[in-house]
Amino acid sequence: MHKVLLVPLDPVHDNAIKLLRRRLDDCGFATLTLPPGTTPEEVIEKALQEHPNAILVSRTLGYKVAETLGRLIDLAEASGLRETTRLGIGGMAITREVGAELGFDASFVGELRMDEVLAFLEGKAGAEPAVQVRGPARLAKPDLVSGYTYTFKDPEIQALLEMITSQILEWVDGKTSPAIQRAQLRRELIEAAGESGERNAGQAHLLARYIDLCDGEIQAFYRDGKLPDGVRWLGSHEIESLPEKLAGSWGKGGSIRHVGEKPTLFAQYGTGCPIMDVVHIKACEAWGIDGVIHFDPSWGALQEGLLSGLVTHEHDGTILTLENLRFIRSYMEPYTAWNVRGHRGLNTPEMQVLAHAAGADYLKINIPYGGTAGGTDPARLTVDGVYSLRLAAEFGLPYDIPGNDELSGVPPHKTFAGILIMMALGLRLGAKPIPKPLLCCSPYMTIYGEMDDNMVDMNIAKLAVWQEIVDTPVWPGEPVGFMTHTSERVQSSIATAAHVALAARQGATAVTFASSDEAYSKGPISIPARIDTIRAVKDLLRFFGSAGFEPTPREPQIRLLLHERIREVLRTVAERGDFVASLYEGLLGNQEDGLYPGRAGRGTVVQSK
Amino acid sequence: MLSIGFAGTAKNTGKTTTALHVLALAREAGLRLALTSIGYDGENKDNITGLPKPRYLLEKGACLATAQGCLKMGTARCCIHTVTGIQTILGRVVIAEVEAPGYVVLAGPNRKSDLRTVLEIFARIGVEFTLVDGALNRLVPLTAADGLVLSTGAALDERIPVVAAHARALLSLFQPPAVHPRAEPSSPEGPLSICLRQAGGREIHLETGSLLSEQTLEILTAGFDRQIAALTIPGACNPSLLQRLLERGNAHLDGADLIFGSPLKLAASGDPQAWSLLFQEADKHGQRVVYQESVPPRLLTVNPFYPSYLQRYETYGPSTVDKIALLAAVRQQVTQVPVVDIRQPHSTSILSLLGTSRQEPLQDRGGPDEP
Repeated sequence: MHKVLLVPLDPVHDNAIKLLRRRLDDCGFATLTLPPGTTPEEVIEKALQEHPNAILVSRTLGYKVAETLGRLIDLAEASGLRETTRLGIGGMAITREVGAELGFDASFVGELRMDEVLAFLEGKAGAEPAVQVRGPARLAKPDLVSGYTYTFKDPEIQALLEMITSQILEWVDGKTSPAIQRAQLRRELIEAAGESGERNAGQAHLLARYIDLCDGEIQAFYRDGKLPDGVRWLGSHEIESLPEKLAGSWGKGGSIRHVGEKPTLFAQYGTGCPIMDVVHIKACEAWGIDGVIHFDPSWGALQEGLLSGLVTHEHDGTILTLENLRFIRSYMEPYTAWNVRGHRGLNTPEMQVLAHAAGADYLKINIPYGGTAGGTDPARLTVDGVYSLRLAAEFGLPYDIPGNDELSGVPPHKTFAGILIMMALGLRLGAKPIPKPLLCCSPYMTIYGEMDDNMVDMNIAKLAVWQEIVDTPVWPGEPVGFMTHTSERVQSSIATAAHVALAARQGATAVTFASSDEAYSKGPISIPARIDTIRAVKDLLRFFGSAGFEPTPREPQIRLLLHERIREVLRTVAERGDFVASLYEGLLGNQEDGLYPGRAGRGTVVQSK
Repeated sequence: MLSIGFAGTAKNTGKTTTALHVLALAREAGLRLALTSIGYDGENKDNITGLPKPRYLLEKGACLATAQGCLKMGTARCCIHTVTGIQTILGRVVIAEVEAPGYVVLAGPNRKSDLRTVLEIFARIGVEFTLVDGALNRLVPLTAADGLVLSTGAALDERIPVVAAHARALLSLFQPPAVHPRAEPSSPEGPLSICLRQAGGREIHLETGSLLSEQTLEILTAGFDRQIAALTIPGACNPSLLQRLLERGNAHLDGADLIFGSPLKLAASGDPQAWSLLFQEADKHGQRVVYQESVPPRLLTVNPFYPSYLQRYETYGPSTVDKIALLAAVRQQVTQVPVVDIRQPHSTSILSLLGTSRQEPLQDRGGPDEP
């Protein structure tokens, strides 16, 4: 049996040691505890008598305390103890670097995580411990679609979707667009570059054809080296100094969840600068975020063609280039899930190609939303969207379908109808969809008083209706709590945390939440604001644990109505017999709902040769 | 290959600054260099005080031993020569060579046995001079080096007389003579044990190698039924317990050899000033202190800097004591090795003092001899 000596090298406090003792006793370890105020000499003396396998020290770090801890290590070395006994340390302000400086064999950073302690005691640093403990230890990347059958439970909706998707596929047959052609050329360019990523002579021809399919500003970039206004190259110093900036206690943070493995928690980034994005991502990882979502700039959706290289600009959204994406990915931990947004503009197919080449885990494709609120011509985006779904199927990457058109005023039943169409379309093409209902206090909710009394009923109904219709993962976002935030960071964090907690207790597979200043920041999103929200979410998930939200008797009525209205919308679209026309005519969101058909790329759909 | 350990009496006494100074001298002299640390060095700010820290800038061709994860924390481009089996908090220790110059972050072997392994590898690959940066006030692993540079200063204590007295006592720990010819060989691995050798040859071995408990004191005392020829305490040793043991031993211990593991183990075990008094007392009783192994101090540096805690801002700010007074006070107390403040002019040829075959040009030593 492993024997562990627990030592509070603190004059007064030993709560952490008592907690550790209880947990280790539960796991079958033989524990010995020393009282507060023990000196390093007394620790070594005890260890020489008892021959423990390990000594675990708890101490808050402060100036001069480091010398005491250093003396403990020195005494352990002097007495020969280091050859037989491992030493670990945990406590406030203890980091891995501090542990290394002090000479310990392990340091436990932040909140007590038994999986780490056990792995250390069993001599398996970084591996899963043989003794299982309560609470998740997420070292593997989550698979959000695993275990879902996509079996429809509403036959009428299933039949309607069958009709609509057949009509869509028939409509797109034989059609192509400049975006599809560019996507095909991009794939060839990437394949031709191979491992080295460097351009060779054979690619010049491919690139020339690509450039011919781009808008003027993008052409000027490739032909004349002229960057669009506000865009600049990343400097070599910025790139080379990034590792130094990141030196410190980055890496896997403790789980934000208190119980269970769900939901997987995502943060969104897109500061405009890949360097800043990396720093934000590392901060998110250190605070326990499971995955991140790349947001690209709006203007990139309105131009034919994409830039290349490591580029930055001082606006929202980080420019989608293969080099930017690969750069960002190279700094992520291997277990961090990655969703790349490219769903609503003139480069949708190519964006899926880049996302896949850079190592993304999830794509994002939504024709109704992109063809209206996203600003892209519905016909164009339908052709591009279907092609993108085929790519998602080919790449084996699940794709999510955001419902952010609710922000314009679209009622949830229309948004959900559009999401269902995208789901069914993707399933027919062999892809794996993930609907993203937006939990928000949208204009529709405000105008029609749906959230006057509480925000629980409607949000629960919006989540629950999916399971009535189809067996699917559900991923509320992006982000949850939209339009419930103010410029006050505490309020914003609480509002976000409440939405995440509700989604978690309702069984959401994943949730995206934003930093507390995201809705209101007039400049870059700040890391302290991100951490505010993460902490708030963590604390509220801790508060609820396995307990849940109790809706009022109104919720089932809301859900029933929502379900019926979804069917009505789908009936209307099916009867119309023309999905693209349905988008133009507002059947999935009209002017009264605040939606207008997009115009970018109008008239660019052509017949395939 | 020559290896020099850089140890401090406390945090922020200037050991890394001293090591950087020696590194620069050694580089200028054309020595093939290697660098490692028994702690964590090379970060841009102190993990505890938040104040800026000196950083290691290595040129092409220099070697280092550091945790693999630390290679990407610096700006130097390195290629890995060997992956050792030495595990640290920050990962497995690798031996690497700098291909493109830049800053490096060091987190090397933190145990003596592991440091020995690393030094052996450096010697095998042709390194001529290895610098081993210490950590905090940790000393014992540096026994594996060929020599020591000790650093002290106001970070230990803001009172200059206290720093000077401490330095005197610390250096006096290294004075006892060379390894006893009949001493048990030091054992880098495996158990150490206290041995009481009575006149006539009977030996009493204890299970433990350290004198840190009343229990051990009682067991040893029981062996004082006849004259003692030698008492070997190879591990840690509490000086006050030893004091009591010697008192109990009384005349039985007169003329006995007191054999300790190393001066660094004694320094780790108790206040050097307590040891200094104990050695004086031992001398009066004809007891001879010797070590199983030792590492010679070559140089003592003093640093007037200390971080002062700013209550109002809940942070640390840099402060200094009178640097001239500090240097003078310590020089008055310490005569066994040269004492320098590397930021003040001095005439000491540090490289040759450390035992290299090279020495730095005169202009690198600063100003004329001190008065």
